[in-house]
Amino acid sequence: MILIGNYNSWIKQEWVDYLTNNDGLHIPRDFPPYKLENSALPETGWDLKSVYSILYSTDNTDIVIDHLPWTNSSDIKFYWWVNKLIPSMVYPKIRDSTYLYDTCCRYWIPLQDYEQGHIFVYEDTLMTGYKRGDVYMYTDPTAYVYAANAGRNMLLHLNFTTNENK
Amino acid sequence: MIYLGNYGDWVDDNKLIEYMDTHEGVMSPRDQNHENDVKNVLHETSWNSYTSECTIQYNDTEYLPLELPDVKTDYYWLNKMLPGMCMPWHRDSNSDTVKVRYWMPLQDYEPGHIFICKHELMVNYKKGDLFKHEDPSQYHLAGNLGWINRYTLNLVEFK
Repeated sequence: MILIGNYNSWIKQEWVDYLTNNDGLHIPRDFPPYKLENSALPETGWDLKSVYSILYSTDNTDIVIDHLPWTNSSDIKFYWWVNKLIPSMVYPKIRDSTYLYDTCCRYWIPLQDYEQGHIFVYEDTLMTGYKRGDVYMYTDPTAYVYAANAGRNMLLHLNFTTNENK
Repeated sequence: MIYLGNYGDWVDDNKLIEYMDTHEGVMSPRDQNHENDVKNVLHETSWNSYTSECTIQYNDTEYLPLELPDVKTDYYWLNKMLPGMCMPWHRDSNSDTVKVRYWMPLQDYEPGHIFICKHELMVNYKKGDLFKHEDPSQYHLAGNLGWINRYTLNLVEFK
């Protein structure tokens, strides 16, 4: 993961308030079209009727994100979503399956400062010590990632997939 | 975590994974009949300590006596975590009485199998690697976000 910079001032508190106080899509349980990259997951014991994360995107919120503050280019297409994990939620090891573009960059942005028990692992690296609004770019957009909330407070991650070619 | 050595052959000799796969353990914390620190942590969050299935524990010291060569230990418990199981950030209930705490994975490292102590994720270990906690009362957590069962051994030496 490459730290691009901190863009905390770009994150609107009203986004965080909305995500904190409103329900979203319970995935994978309530998202029939949702397909995890690895179709073998149910065979490994993961229950696709349970809830790994609560998902928010342009499809189920009024949040408008119209630009990426870490780039000056206005030509970049992107899609965003937020994963909310309440304590005890676990998100299995997957390669992200959102391939909307021929070329792809992925970004991960925590919406809170790091807390013990908040787990996001990129390949074999546990993300720690981050600050709200830190923008990390995946070194490899096909990398394995997984997450869990083994802490005491809600966990919020903002994710982007873009059509950049890097 | 301090690496002490590898006991892979000892793990094979004691058939620990085979033991867990053929015996019924205790679903923790759901079926534990005592209050422990995991439950205390759970009470303070939205985890439900009375229904949560965080790990399957085995501490059958009578039926499966374990003795590590050249390492003094007084008590052990085995953990089997199915995919999707995760412990909360916690410290063990016997922390005040423990002098040394050891952790041993019973499989080679598998991405998605997590053990985090302080802010360190244990990776690239081998079956039977023995690690000593720098601080026996250190908060830690474990989970299985991978695709195969996760098996570990915990050992302690009491004060």
